[in-house]
Amino acid sequence: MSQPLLSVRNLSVAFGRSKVVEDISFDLGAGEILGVVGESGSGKSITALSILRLVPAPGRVSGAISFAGADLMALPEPEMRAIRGRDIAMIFQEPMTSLNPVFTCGDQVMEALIHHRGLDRTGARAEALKLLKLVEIPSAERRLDDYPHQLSGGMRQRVMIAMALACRPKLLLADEPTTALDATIQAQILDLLRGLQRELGMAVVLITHDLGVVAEVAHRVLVMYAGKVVETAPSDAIFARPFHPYTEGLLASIPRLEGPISRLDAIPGQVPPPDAMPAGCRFAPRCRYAAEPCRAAPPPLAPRGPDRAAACIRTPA
Amino acid sequence: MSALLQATGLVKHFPAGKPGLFERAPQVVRAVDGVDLSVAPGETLALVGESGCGKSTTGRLILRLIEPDAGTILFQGRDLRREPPARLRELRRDMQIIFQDPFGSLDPRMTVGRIVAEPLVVHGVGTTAERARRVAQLLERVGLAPAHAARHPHEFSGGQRQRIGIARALALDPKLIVCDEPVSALDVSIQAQVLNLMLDLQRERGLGYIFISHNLAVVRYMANRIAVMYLGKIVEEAARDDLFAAPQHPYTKALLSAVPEPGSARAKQRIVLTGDVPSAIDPPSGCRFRTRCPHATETCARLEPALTPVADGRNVACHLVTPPGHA
Amino acid sequence: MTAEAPAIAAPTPLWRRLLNHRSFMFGLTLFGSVVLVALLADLIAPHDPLKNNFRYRLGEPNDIHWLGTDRAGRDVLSRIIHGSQVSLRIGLMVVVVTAVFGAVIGGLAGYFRKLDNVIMRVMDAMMAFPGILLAIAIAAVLGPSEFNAVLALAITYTPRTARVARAAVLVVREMPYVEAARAVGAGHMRILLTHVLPNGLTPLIVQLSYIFAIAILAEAVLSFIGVGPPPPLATFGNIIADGRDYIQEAPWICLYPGLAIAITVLGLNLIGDGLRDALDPRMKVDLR
Repeated sequence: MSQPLLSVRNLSVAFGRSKVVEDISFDLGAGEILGVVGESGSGKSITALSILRLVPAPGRVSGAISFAGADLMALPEPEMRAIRGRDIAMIFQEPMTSLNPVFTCGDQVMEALIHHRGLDRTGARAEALKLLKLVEIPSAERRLDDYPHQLSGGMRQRVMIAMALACRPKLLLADEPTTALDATIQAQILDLLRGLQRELGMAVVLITHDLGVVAEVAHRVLVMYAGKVVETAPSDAIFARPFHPYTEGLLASIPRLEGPISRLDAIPGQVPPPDAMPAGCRFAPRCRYAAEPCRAAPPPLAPRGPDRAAACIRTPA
Repeated sequence: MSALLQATGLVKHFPAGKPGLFERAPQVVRAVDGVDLSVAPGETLALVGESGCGKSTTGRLILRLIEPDAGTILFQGRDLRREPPARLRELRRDMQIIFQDPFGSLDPRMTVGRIVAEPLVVHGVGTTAERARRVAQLLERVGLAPAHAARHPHEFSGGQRQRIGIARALALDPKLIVCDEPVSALDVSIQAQVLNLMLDLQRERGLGYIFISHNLAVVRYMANRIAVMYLGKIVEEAARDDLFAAPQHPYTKALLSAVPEPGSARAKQRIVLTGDVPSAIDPPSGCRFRTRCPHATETCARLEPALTPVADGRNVACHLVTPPGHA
Repeated sequence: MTAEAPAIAAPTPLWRRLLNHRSFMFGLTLFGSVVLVALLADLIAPHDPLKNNFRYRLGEPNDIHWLGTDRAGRDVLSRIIHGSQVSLRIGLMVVVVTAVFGAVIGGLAGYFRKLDNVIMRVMDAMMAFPGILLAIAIAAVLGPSEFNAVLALAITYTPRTARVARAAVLVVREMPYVEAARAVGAGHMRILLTHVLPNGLTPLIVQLSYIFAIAILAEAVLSFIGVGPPPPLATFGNIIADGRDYIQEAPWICLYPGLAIAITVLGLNLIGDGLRDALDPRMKVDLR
């Protein structure tokens, strides 16, 4: 990876005294799928929002984000607006509330085309139809004039994806795109996302709490806990051998579809509230291996081999 | 087998849309359309399926939280639908429910102590002091501190609230608990804690569970027997190991293959179903799954497959498994 | 999903939100002082509100009669002070009666679907009449008395309260904790009293603070046209009614009680707005 498409350095987001995201750094190459895994309160969604500079009002963002050579933190607002939707698109968990109920699906897909690509209405409609076909919506011509409430959840998510793809973005931020969907529909959408990514060569940041989804789709994984990156590694490697105790604990606490059924090894306790973070390693209070040094100072995210890193003092190098 | 609960022919049709003053609702949603199931003492029966398959409604029909249109429910040998309201209230002591939503299912204006004590108060169990002692015991048993009784639900995290909900369900020492997606709103690390707690409680008290979930991996961890539902009907029912080792109904196969698993050795051979679940207002003729089934034949459109025994304790509703006229 | 999210900030308690709400505090101060005056009427009124003094009729405000005297030479200030007692009492009774009937009717309509259509159509029919005209008509039929004024106003404003109560109950009835209560075997009465009522109360309280204000205004109207509590009893409306024939020569007779009404009503409305803001869940910021 010579020049990463997206490069995040020392990103922190604070609401008042609560540091929701603290000092995270990562790179994303063109055409790469990065899975960001974490439980609620891990800061994974806020991280995506800060890439788009859409962190809600009292939040303070610091650090550096560069995208395709541009410094996103320094860009004037009009230019940032142009990048949103055109170069970086985002899809959300709840496709019902993300679509405007008073416009047809066609109108909403066309809006981006007219706004960002300067097409006229006829041209935009033709292009919108192509997009709906691209996301495999059956009888797309008819769906163009449907309102969101006339569609099922899976179809709505397809429309959302079509909107996101309208300008052939270089980067797609997908925040829990399949969490609200049923298993068989989720399988369809994941298939679609993977296919589209290969076809269009865009990079994807896939935010999810579901390790299974990450394992299936992502090339690389970033595990977040309580606002920090605790581990990053290629997807196959991390599931074969997690380095960080939190990753290990997560993998041990999900029930499996195969293999012997033994008692789940649950991680005790819960995520500390963001305004009462422990001074040392944030996972230390729940960690079975925690020792004195863990509670003294937060461990840095240190490289472990060529393409992995973990923030734990215990992991052998 | 002497069943703790035996339900036969459960049916519930909801009117589609709210009837106004002058118009009648012309359509019905066939939420549950002829479901039979039984649970033995100490056993966990799982109901799995996707949203809209009727699994949650089935759970509520069993508790008569929703009044069934047809069917019989025998609980410890007594017909719940024939019991007068006063007796039904008594029987309710032995059947409880744990809800999906850990935020909505606890009254925000009550203290945790009052919430957990409510079943005791309703059924007039014990004096105030006895109830307080019982609440303290229950909270301790589910992993909270007795001192938490004085706090309000909003002071707790989702996992802790779910524990409060479990404590409430245990208050009257029930024999059967309907668990309606009890962990689907929880983070994975918390989910494991709650599942383990539920297993321990079952072992301790010989509880029967009806475990409603869309998550097959969770179901595999919890259940002895599994019933797969699709559009208001059970399409396959089997003991856990049989079902996961060799699913027979095409829908079960597709559902199993749709679940993404981290680090799984199993070949990622997906059966990706086309299309959406059809509407329960106007389900397909014949087999309800045929519109998405990769193997559907002309017979499937014509004839509705009955849930037929194919082996000991194993039932499947599919013409491909049990050809019509064969069994 | 996201149930484990630790609250980013604990929700500010209601009283603190109210303390920080400026116009609520201003309203509370206004209304609080009116209530204080009414409570201490016997102590602070400088004169007997009913004592005639024909030597000083329609007297201008002076050192002895700060707000002047009316056509019978009665002290306007003392009449306002004592009148506030009666006006607030009527307002309060209207609120209590409306609250009880509104909550019961609206609660039943919202909770029992079968009753809903019937009850609410009757309420709609009552609301089809302009409120104040209905009150005047009822009061005229019943005859002028304090009790009848309360009755007329309560009948008029109960449907409005019932409507708010019904809407609140409709929301609460669908909450999972109500289903949870049914699942443990709780009966309708218990569910209504321990779950539905406390959780549906907030919009009702907001509505009632407005009803209080409207009732005080409406009492003045009833008294003004002579169907309210009969003179010589002082109420805000009675004092104004007494002074209307002399508005040219002795404007103070109408002006000051009018001002008293304005202060009371403004105070109550600000309290209502403040409660509404503080209780409105849409105002809460969600940081997730």
